[in-house]
Amino acid sequence: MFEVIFLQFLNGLDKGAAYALIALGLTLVFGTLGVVNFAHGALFMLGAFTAVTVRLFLTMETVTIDPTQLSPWGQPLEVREPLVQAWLGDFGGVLVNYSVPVSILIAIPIMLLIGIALERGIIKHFYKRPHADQILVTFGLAIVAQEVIKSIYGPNPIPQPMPTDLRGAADIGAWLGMQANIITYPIWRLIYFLFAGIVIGAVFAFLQFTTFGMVVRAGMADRETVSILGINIDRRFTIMFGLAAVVAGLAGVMYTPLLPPNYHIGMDFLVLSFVVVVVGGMGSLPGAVLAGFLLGILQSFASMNQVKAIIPGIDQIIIYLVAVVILLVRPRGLMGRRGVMES
Amino acid sequence: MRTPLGSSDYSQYLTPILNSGADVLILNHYGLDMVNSLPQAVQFGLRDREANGKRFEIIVPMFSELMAKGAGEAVRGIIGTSNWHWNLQDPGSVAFTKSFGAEYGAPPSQAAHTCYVQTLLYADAVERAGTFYPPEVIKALEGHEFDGMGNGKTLYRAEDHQCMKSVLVVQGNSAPTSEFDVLNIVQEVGRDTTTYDPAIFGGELGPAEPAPLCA
Amino acid sequence: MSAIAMTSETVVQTPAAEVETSRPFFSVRDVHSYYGESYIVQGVSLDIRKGEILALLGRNGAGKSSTLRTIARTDSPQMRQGEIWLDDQPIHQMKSFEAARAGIQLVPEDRRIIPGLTVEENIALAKVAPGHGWDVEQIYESFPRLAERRKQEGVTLSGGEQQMLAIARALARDLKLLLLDEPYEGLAPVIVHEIERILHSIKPLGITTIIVEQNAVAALKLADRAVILDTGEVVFSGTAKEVLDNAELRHEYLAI
Ligand SMILES: Nc1ncnc2c1ncn2[C@@H]1O[C@H](COP(=O)(O)OP(=O)(O)OP(=O)(O)O)[C@@H](O)[C@H]1O
Ligand SMILES: [Mg+2]
Repeated sequence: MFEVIFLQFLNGLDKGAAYALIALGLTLVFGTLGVVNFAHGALFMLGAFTAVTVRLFLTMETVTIDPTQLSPWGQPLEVREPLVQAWLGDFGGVLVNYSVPVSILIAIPIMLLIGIALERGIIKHFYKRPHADQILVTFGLAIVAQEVIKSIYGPNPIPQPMPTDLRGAADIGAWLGMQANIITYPIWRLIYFLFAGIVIGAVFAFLQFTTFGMVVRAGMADRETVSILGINIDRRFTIMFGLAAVVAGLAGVMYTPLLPPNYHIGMDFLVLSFVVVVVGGMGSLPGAVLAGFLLGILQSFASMNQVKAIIPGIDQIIIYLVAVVILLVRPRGLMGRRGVMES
Repeated sequence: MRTPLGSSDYSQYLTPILNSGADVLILNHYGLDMVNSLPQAVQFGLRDREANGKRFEIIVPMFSELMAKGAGEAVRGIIGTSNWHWNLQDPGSVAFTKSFGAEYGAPPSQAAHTCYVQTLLYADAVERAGTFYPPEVIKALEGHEFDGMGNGKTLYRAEDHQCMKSVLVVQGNSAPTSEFDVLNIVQEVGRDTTTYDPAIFGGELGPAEPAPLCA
Repeated sequence: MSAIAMTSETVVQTPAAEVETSRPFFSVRDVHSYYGESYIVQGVSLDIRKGEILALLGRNGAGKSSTLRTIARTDSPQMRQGEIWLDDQPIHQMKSFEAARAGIQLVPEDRRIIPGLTVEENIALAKVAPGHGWDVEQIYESFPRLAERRKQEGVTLSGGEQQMLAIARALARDLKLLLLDEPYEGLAPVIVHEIERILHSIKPLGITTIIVEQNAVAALKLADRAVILDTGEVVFSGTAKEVLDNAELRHEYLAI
């Protein structure tokens, strides 16, 4: 029984890390700009498709048609030669194998630019409008992004293989001195968990230990006073939007081996991450992380047959149930501040 | 293990299977759900696992080329069943594959085959019934037996309206030569083996008359 | 309107020798501001010479804070008409962060110490944007209480200490005009004395200042001149001494 509980707990941490990462980016935007960003899921999706695109480039092939041979469906046979390997030899092969980690490096500047362009180009004009308008425009942006991706890449999921060395499951039980093959967990999920932890830690360290971070924290707490002290807080918040886009995009890149991405991938997370943010407390970064892990773990345990035998269907409603209970007991969420979205 | 459909991450339903003592996972998901859950099951090591001294197997009861494509390398070696496959060598299948390939530049999926065949069968039934009126078309199809559609002699059984035909056992191709070459035929299981007693599932068929249209 | 109400133009007596430019050091010209549709600052004008301290007085709700906030160019109230000039810079065309860089520092009514930041960080925040004034050591020398508590979270300070921190934050910037909104508000008399001492000690530095204060007597002790507002309009402008000497005026507009 111990191994069953342990595995479920590990799985909860793994899910929680993914939730926390997305909720963190959403909270960065809400806490700084005060905008409820429904395009956040689309940013996750764009990150995932950065990985798809990088892989497409890395696996480009030259196609020569051999008219003397026919395929079983009656077309001339195509002979394909990988280009990157032809240029770069073994290193090309390594690049293709590690296309997902390579995509991270490329996604950082791309997502930063997308984020800054979105904020400066569109979202900026909605700060003084009601929240409902902000939701409509960001949701509209999400739909546009989805349709653009769909028209380029089609509607079907595009699998992204993980590096060959990182496939399969790690025997965690054996590491902990237990019998082999009792507690095994996919290596990539462990990497995702670590990655999420590092990104979350880096965001917190950035906010806590840099002057830029101090200014942003101050601006989140009292934007007017920061301006009175001569600081152009809007510009810093624009950069924070870019950073939130990077966080969402990287979460998307790293998720592609776990879930073949299609244009819709961000929407699945959007609703969930809003629940996470509300449970954590609107605008609270530690709240978002805490709630992400809490809901991940609860969802994982609620999916066990033993639990479902007691309360059938609990696995499908647990997150919403917890959200309702927490909002009744603590209307501002676990770590919400006064006055956020209350005026 | 019951799971909701339309989820993107099925991991919380896979962890309890790891130490459950089961030696087969029948992954009764279709479409996007299968595309999501199968790679996750493989990542959890279920494809390469041993259970009770035997190789653990993942079985996908409804395998299709589109799903196999979406699931990527996770389908390699995975066994499942399918309606039809473009590599069948009966004259009907060969002709369909050729003309479909000429039109679209790709071999037809089993779903494309199903759509094509069903359209032909419906047209034939309407012709035989001499009307589009559904109760008459239904009668024309009940107990109807035909051949040449790629599945051998096929029967629309009158008792439960189920289609009795041969079924393919397929396996994810471990060394595909092209993006269309994702599934291999392992075995063709004849209609005598797949036919089962209609009483097993039973149930009422319901009225044949269409519901009255709202005025 | 009573006989003592005068427009500002009639009272500014610039000594002939000092007339070098057509504009005084700081000048507010017919400023009108609104909170949404409510019309609060209704055509205020005032002029201040360099180094002068002006007491801006008036009853609760007269529009004193709104006037200071308009000068500091905060988003609300929204200024819809008028001009503000500081040392020939058009403040009315600026946003609040630009006005701050031009040398305007508002020490707001409720001090606005930033939650989550230490005393040290609150001061450091004032030094992020270009245009630095006192350095940190100088601040801690003048405010030893802050030096002792530099690692403490700013909002956990006592009211008097928070007021010192708010003033220190302003002094950390390169100042041309200091706007003090009720620096003595809600403080015990001992602390009021301490803040008063600080303000008197910086007076010789010649920082041009506008002080808004309910405690008119205390403000007038510090100030050279006084302006009285009522319902968003200037109803008196003259020397501090004139207000102290005129009981009728004090009674009508200041209730003292
Ligand atoms: N944010 C706001 N929205 C709407 N009206 C406001 C706002 N702030 C102030 N007011 C109104 O503007 C008028 C002037 O307020 P202001 O704070 O400038 O007065 P004050 O002279 O500073 O008063 P006090 O001495 O009480 O501080 C008041 O009638 C007040 O109700
Ligand atoms: Mg006031």
